[in-house]
Amino acid sequence: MNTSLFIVLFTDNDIFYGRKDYSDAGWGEIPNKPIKKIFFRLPTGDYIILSDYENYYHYVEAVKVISGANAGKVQIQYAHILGKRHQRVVEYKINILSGNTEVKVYDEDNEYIQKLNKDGWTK
Amino acid sequence: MTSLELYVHTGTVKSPEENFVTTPADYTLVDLVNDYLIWTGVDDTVKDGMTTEPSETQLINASPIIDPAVEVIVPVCLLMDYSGIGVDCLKEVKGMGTDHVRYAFLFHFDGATATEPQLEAWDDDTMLTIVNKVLGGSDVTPIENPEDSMVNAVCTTTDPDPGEDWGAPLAGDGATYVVKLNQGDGAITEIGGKDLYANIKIKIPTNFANPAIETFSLCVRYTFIS
Repeated sequence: MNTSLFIVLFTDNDIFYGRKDYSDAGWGEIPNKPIKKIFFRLPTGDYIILSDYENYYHYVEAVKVISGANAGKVQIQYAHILGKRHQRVVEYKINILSGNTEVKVYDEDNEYIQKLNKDGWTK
Repeated sequence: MTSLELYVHTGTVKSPEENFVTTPADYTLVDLVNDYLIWTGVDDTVKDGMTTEPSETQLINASPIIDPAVEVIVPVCLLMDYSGIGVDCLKEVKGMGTDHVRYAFLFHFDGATATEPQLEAWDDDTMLTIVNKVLGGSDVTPIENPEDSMVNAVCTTTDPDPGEDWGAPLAGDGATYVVKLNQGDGAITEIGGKDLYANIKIKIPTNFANPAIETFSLCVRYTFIS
């Protein structure tokens, strides 16, 4: 059973497997060549499939307690996978504890999209 | 994976004018697992330089007094530094809550982020509710009133002077009652990370009717490309 957090299928049919760890999944190591599909694994074991986007983006959302009970605790709460096509961006926000997934669509010039660290987009 | 460390300004100056780059010795790294912050009143025992961990009785005796006529800003924030037991385990966070003070709390990120880090306050580390009185909670509907949170903060990363009466209420993770720590400029794009600054204070409303030991969790939400 493949436990990669994501699997990238390129247009030349090569495959890249991400790692299973949310904190180090290997997004920055994806080879720079055209992507056909990305299979992103949900906590349930199912996959979200993003296909034929121009660019893709993945990041995780963590919270660190700095004061109060259990200070120092770091909890990764969400994984985000985005696809951009024709000036539109689709975002899947995945609660990694419950598996619930929220889907949003943005214009490319939306402030949230514009303020993302641009280094995260696949080329 | 980008990680976060919290430093507090414990130097000798009362109103810090210089940041971590210029005066690193004035900052203390908070060991979040063992150390903790104490928000308290002015007291002869529980104060900067205390050599032992204060007892519950000492903490109660040092509590800020609610004023029937004016709001009270909790005057002292102490770092309980376990590594200093026997020497000086209580260290005052200099400039906490003070007007015009920029560099009291330092959030050091060792790498880039995907979005802008933000400071949040919750009832506890489950980060599900904001019903404690200190966060604006009420016994009557509406139970949640984040606009009334006593925990206030201001980002000072690039703002040279937060001015007087600064602070936005913190409660939960909505768009309104959080404080963005990169001055609204978005993600940390520096590969080597960045130091972000804020000041924090607790404002007890005039004649507040529910004196109690109030707990809350301060949290930083941040993201990274993994």
